[in-house]
Amino acid sequence: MHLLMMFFYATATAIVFSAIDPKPVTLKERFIHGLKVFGWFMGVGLSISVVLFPLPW
Amino acid sequence: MADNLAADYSDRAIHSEFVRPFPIARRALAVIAAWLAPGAGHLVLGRYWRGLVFFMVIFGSFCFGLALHGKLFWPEAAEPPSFLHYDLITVLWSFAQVGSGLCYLGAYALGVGTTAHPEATTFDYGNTFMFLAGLLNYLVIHDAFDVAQGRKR
Repeated sequence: MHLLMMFFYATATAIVFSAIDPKPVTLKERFIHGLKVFGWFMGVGLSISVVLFPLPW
Repeated sequence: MADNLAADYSDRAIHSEFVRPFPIARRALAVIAAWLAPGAGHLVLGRYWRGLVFFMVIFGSFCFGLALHGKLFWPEAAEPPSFLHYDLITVLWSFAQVGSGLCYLGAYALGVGTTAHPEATTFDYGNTFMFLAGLLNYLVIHDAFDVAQGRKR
């Protein structure tokens, strides 16, 4: 459940971030930029969860 | 730092002949419309596809949050009373949600999401998606302003 919500959250954020970023010009560049943002959100989220999992509080 | 940032974006700089700030009335209309309806600011400025994408993502996030039993927040009095009078976290939460404009006001007028359902397992997820909608719309409002000013295409 949590992973699914994280997926939706990262998707929505990646779409908006890739659309407002001025650096990508072509649609392909925007798509790649969106994929990178999505990957970072998911990667960092999963990394934090792995780090926090063994903590007792 | 600023120099490096400018150098990084220099190949993407908009040439002066393309920089056309919109008239002040249209700029103001774009910003107000962008707050009221996600993506409407871009529609006013002729960026139809981008406006449609913003509308679908932000409106979709807000509705998804409501469907997950999210609550519409408004600043509440601190309990126990403090010198700030308002509970700071509810001030921040309501600020985040108010960013979604008519989504927030419309839901409030319809009485949807006005009561909390903390017993629902998706309550916190719903709130998070409603915060996301408002906060993303603040970014979209800023983007519409940049486009209207002629800083971006």
